[in-house]
Amino acid sequence: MVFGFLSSGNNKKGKERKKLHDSSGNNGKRSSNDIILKDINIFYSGKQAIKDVDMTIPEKKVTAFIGPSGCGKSTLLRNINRMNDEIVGCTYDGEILWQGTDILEKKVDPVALRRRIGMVFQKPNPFPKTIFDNIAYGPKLLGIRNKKKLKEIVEKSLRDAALWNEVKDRLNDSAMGLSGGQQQRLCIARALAVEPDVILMDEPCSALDPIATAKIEDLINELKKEYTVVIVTHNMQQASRISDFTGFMYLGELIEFGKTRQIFENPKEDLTERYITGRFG
Amino acid sequence: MGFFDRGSTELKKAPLTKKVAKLSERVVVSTLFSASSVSVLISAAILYTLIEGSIKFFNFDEVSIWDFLFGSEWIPSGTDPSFGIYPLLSDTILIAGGTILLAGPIGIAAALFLSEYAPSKVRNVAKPVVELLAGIPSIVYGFFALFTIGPIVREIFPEATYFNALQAIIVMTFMVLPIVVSISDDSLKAVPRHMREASLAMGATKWETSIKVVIPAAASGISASVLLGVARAIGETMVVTLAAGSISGGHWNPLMEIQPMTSFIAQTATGDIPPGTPQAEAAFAVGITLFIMTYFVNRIAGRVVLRIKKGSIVKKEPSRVQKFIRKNTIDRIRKPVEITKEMISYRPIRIDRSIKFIDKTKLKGNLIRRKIKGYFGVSTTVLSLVLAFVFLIYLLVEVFIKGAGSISWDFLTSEPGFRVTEASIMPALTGSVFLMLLTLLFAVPLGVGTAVYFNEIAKDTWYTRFLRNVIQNLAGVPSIVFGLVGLAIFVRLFNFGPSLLAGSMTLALMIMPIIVVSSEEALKSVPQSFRDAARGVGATRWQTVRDHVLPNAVPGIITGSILSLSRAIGETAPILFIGAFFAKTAPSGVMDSFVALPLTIFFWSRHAQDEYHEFASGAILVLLVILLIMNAIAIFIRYRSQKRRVW
Ligand SMILES: Nc1ncnc2c1ncn2[C@@H]1O[C@H](COP(=O)(O)OP(=O)(O)OP(=O)(O)O)[C@@H](O)[C@H]1O
Ligand SMILES: [Mg+2]
Repeated sequence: MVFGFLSSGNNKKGKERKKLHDSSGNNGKRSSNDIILKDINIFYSGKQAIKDVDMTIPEKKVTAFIGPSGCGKSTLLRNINRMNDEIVGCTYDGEILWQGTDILEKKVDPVALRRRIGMVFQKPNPFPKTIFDNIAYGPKLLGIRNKKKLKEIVEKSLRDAALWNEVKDRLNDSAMGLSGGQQQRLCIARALAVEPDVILMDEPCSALDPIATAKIEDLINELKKEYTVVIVTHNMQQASRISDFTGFMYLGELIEFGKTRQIFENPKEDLTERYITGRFG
Repeated sequence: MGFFDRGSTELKKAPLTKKVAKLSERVVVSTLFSASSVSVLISAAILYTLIEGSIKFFNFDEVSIWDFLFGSEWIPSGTDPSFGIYPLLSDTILIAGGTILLAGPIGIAAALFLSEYAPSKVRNVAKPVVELLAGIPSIVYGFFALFTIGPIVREIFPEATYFNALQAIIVMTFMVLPIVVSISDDSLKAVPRHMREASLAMGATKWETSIKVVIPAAASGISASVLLGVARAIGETMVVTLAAGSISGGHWNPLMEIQPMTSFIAQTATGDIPPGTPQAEAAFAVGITLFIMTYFVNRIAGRVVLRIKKGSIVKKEPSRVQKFIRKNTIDRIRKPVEITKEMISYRPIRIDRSIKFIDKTKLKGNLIRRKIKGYFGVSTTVLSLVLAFVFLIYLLVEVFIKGAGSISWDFLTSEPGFRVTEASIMPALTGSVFLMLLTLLFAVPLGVGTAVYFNEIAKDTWYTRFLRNVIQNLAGVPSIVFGLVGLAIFVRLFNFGPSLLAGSMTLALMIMPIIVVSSEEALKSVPQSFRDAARGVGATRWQTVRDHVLPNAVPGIITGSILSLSRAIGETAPILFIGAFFAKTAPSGVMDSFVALPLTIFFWSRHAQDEYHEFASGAILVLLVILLIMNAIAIFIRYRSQKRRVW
């Protein structure tokens, strides 16, 4: 197990512990495609929800956030594509470095950012439109009007989300008629259609049955070969099955971050161990 | 009251107690039940009036139903009258269509701004200001259309006639705006947040999200708001009567004089039309046409609004029966099939990212274009709201400037003479006050009683549902139709003559549904736990209401009642047939003839001498001040009770 000591040089209180398990993927090699979170603090109307989080999310790997309800997993995830900008009263500081820029800077346009860092939500949320229009929504915004091209995009996105075979003869039906699992894969396809590099998923399987969940997990396994995936999950088995790296969060802090096997088999922190073994107060 | 008090404590031990309590309970409950059933009588009165009048009309030799429905000429007077509804109908459609063509887009845009873009501080101020537009009496709008908008219209379109449709349309746009804005805003707000997030997370701009996701998702509610606006415009009387003219058109030219249905009915009230002629009775046949039109538009809209209120605008919640059937058929049979199909057909494939469709070089220009579109879009929504404010301020300032000069002690209190210099609103002012007090006396007990019955006593039966429906329909009846009812029922049938009594009863009919709705809201705001606690210690239904629910609902009920009275005091159309324009003295009894402020304003606005137009503004100013005071009192009561509220 290799640890990269990547923390920036600042010496805030409480930094020491984090340095220990601050880890990067790719065997310690830094890539500009890694997402590097530095000193992230997030507040809702002044109330702190995330405290001093530092971590490096490696490129083309699955990184999972786990932790008890309300610990701030979603909040942290939503900052990575600046969805928190849309919440009145939500403020943040710190840096998120990605491809050489701090994406939290004011001059970075969240609209452009979100095309490249897509998101899938807990509850499948297709638009009340046809399957085709759901997928074509993003490409159309980007100025693609050509019918043939749109069709190709829709097909490829649905294929990549492993949904094509199930819906290919009902592309013009309402997306609301799909099963929950299909809807969620549609949402993934919709996100893929604008050709992002990173996909954030907030408990994508929590509203699904085991069969549908298994499919999404399979899909994530495929996706990570080409995309950087960050997933929030409540389900420890899921985290251990699909993720390469895991961050355990508690009360707004990142308690431990490391390779999934290490976190699950050999946690450094007492809190982590208690959470993972289900002995949590 | 004392009767019930005794029943509750002293007699507790006496064997008869139970029966006494039960008897009193039954008396109260049946009283409340009767109050709630009055709405059926009102509806019956409306139908009777319109049908009876129409039958009389069609019984004249000169008239035939066929000509009425399909004739193309409306010439009610003269030696060879002709009664084809087409010109009136087309003028109504021109007015209502023109109004909604403006009010729809402006209102939806303003609602979009309020719902999606306005910071909560702006929203909290802007919404009530828009609502203010709904509080201004239509006679004031009519005056403004004729004397302020009119000259501007004629400046821009020199071919426009003195009375024309356009000036009425412009003013009515702002009249119906609050309906469109508030219901559109409600339905936009009801669109779940995850829908917006789905769009934003894909890299859509906020504007694109608003236009392509939020508005389509709220489409049913927005169309309902537009329909309600249409119904309001169809039923509007005073603006068209004052500003649009009195020659039925059918020419579809907004720059010319027209006469919609409401305006014709109003004309029969004010012109020198001999009673007993087909021309006089035609009002009822036109009234029934108007009634049917607004009824259907309102019904369609009402259904949608109800669905939004239940919070199911996006996805209709299946009923219990549907759920049961689904669980036992679809879920048992179809789902396994679907799932198997899913399992067979599902296979993850290798994702090939080398195939790209999006041309990254064009993205920057594309984004800039989209952003500019967004700025323009949002600016339009801001502009729509600003337009409404500008209109409101312009109206108020104009009325103030024009009217302040004519206000004097004499103008308010002296008995009017025949000369221009001796004009006074004293008879109208006192008439309005008396009218309001009497209306209160009739409408409030009925309205509150109905609300208590619905909310506290009645179970959900077919009859209560029917009553609710009836009341909802009553709320949508155009005010001029109530005018006809007042004339046919109170003046003629009950033989009250054109008296204060007839006038106030007519107004009471009109505002009763509004009081029911606001009182019910007040009752609903009392927590259920209060009722449960009282019932738990053995109080009867009525005792619970009397001791625990009503005291807590009173501030809300008073607020609602004041607001509906302020609506009544500004109404012209319902008492157009009843009031006496030439009354020179204050009424001294309920059977006296009377004149009210809105009637005086109407009369003076149509006066040939310019001086009277200024008196009309003076009277408007007084009317607006009265409304302002009433609203301030209502708001104060609401504010104080909210501060005191402990739950
Ligand atoms: N929009 C908001 N406004 C105010 N506070 C919020 C908001 N969203 C979340 N919070 C608060 O921030 C904290 C973290 O919430 P968050 O949703 O990120 O937790 P979570 O770990 O995702 O929980 P869960 O597992 O239940 O989804 C919680 O205390 C929550 O109450
Ligand atoms: Mg969450």
